[in-house]
Amino acid sequence: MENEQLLEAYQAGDELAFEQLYKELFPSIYSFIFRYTLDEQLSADLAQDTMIQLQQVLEHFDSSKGTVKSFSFQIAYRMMLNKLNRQKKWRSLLPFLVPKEQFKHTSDDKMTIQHAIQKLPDKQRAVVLLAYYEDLPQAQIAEILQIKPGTVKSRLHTAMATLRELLKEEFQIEK
Amino acid sequence: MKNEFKDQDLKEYLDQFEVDIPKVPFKQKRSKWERLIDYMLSPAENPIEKWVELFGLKGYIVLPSILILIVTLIQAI
Repeated sequence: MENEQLLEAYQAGDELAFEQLYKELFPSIYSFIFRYTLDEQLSADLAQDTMIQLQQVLEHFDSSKGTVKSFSFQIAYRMMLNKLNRQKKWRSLLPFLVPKEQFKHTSDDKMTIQHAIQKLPDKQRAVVLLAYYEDLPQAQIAEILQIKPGTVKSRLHTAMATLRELLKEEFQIEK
Repeated sequence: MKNEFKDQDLKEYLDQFEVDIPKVPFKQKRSKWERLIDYMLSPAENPIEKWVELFGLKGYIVLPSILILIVTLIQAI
């Protein structure tokens, strides 16, 4: 069943439909947050919190205003930014709270791309992750990030150029 | 928008970034204790490690010495 059909079923009172929706959405929300933060615990917590918040508002969700997926990503992105900003404040007060970098059990290539994505400015990183890994259309990315569709395209192109620059040496070695 | 990515080399690298999804059953709500325990158990950086990189094994002495000095000064004031 499609997300929108599950939504209708849930709105009609089928509680199991939400569990199914959770199974559909949790992996992509978790992956998005993990690729953005590289923090497993934080990603699991935020993905769960997103689904809890989604469940609270879904009963009154108007599907004509967008897809369930983009709506859930909108919640996840906002929660993630709030959490990261709060962490940044705490770490400026207590610097030893810095989490360990989680570039682990990875091949060299995977580590290289993880590093490159982490080096992207925050706004560009979000666009790349949503465009490439989630394959979302421009309008939905704009909706999630609360920016203009034209900005999505320009950020994506800048991000791709930055990534190519960051990976320039790796490309040359391979050739 | 994946079709915007036309650079084959870049795509190959991006494809390497796979994610292992943990199996997390849906819970209506997590208690503050659960959150605190998860937070406390998440790995954190050892603050002395950077000093050890800078000063070698002396780093284990330098940072605690500075901290002791600061505490002593605070007490003196």
